[in-house]
Amino acid sequence: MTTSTSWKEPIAEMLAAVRRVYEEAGLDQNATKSEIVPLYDLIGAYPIRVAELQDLTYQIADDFLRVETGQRIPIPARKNKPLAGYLYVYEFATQFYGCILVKANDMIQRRRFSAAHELGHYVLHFMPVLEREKHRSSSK
Amino acid sequence: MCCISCQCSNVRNIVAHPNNEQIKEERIDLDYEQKQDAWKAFNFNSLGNWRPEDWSERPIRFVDGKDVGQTIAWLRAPGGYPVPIRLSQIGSVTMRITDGECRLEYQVVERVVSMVVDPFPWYEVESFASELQAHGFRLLPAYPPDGAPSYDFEKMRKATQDRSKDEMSLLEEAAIAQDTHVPTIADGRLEPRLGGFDPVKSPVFGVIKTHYRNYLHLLGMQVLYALEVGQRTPVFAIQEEKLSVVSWYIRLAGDFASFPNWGYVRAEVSQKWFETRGHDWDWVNRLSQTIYVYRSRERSYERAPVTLHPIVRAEESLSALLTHTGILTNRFYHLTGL
Repeated sequence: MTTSTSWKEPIAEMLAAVRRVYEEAGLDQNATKSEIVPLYDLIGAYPIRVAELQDLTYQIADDFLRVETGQRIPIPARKNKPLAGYLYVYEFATQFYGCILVKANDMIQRRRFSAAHELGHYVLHFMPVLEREKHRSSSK
Repeated sequence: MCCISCQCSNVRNIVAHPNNEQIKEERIDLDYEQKQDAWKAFNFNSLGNWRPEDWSERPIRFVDGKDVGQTIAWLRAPGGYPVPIRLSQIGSVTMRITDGECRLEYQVVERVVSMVVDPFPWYEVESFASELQAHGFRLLPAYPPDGAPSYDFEKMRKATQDRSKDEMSLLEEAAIAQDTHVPTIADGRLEPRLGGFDPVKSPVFGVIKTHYRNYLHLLGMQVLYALEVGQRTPVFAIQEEKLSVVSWYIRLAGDFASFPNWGYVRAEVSQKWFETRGHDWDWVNRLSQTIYVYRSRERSYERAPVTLHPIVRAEESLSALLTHTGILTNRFYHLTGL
């Protein structure tokens, strides 16, 4: 009898990523007695800024990032599409900076979920890409 | 420079917590046992030599909950919203009658702080909740009735109170769920405790002593007020949003000197559970008689005539587990610097 194990690898990868995030934050995942995940501390392990914006859209994210970081983001045709969360990552002076924006008028559980979701993107999807680019440029 | 972005669209999949006391749409069927224009009182104590102690189906578990707390401070949130903070001790307890004795079977007590947190940044709330938890308090995020913070202090205060009551109901559900095969009486309505039992299979019954709602028609009210001790009204059905129940009133106490709306309780049973037994009116009389026998005789207890003795014992057991509110409040002030 064969059993599909296709779901096991992504889960193992995610669990490893969670362990890595706790290590980066200097926290012992197993020693944390509190049932409340210290999300803010975990995000704080990375050069990521967190902000809450009312009625978050592409346009509002762009306005905020332009003023706060001097950066512009590509804005799609539906610039006023409501967003729950937005992650922006950019490289500056060999560091990878990020900014997690969440919709301020969502319920608090939803806002934390959005922030955690964006941290997940940062760690699982964007960090490897940026690391590869960094590695490629340093090997040239 | 390289930049990458991720955007998540706004999927709002969290529903605001329902208010425990809010009365939702209900449909009342007054013709369930007796045509409503022919309503009359039924005697339930005419069962001959029958005694509840000999009845194998009699309820022997009794579940009660408690929410003891008050608004102890308030904050002004970003946006100017007044945010009341309620400190409560909530708990639930189960008493079981074994060999004629009422014994404590299960208990849980928690210290909770409820407040509307949405106007605050999530990371400040997270930090506050962690700090509270380290000192034995649990933060309960409360939800204003209209889904958005209000400048009306009373609305915000009510939201915090409802939140701790909702949490108390969850603890009661946990108490009920410890043993759902044994006939059990819960102190109050069944619908808020629905998560603790199976409405088809579990013999869980509610006994309500405080009557916020009038379910009856004009003749029904007349029959109710004229009930004598040992009598009940006909059974009627209440179709609520999440649970349909069959219900009836039972006169436990009262004489000509007392007010007509005093001295009775309302019993309710899951309609599905009741109907799997085939509309057993005899069972209704037996349960009514059992509730009557269980009534409290303690004169020192103000609401004794409409309270069951095991429920009084449950309340006493829970009260013994609570810390004095003043001590707890001072500890909270010391901890938070408020």
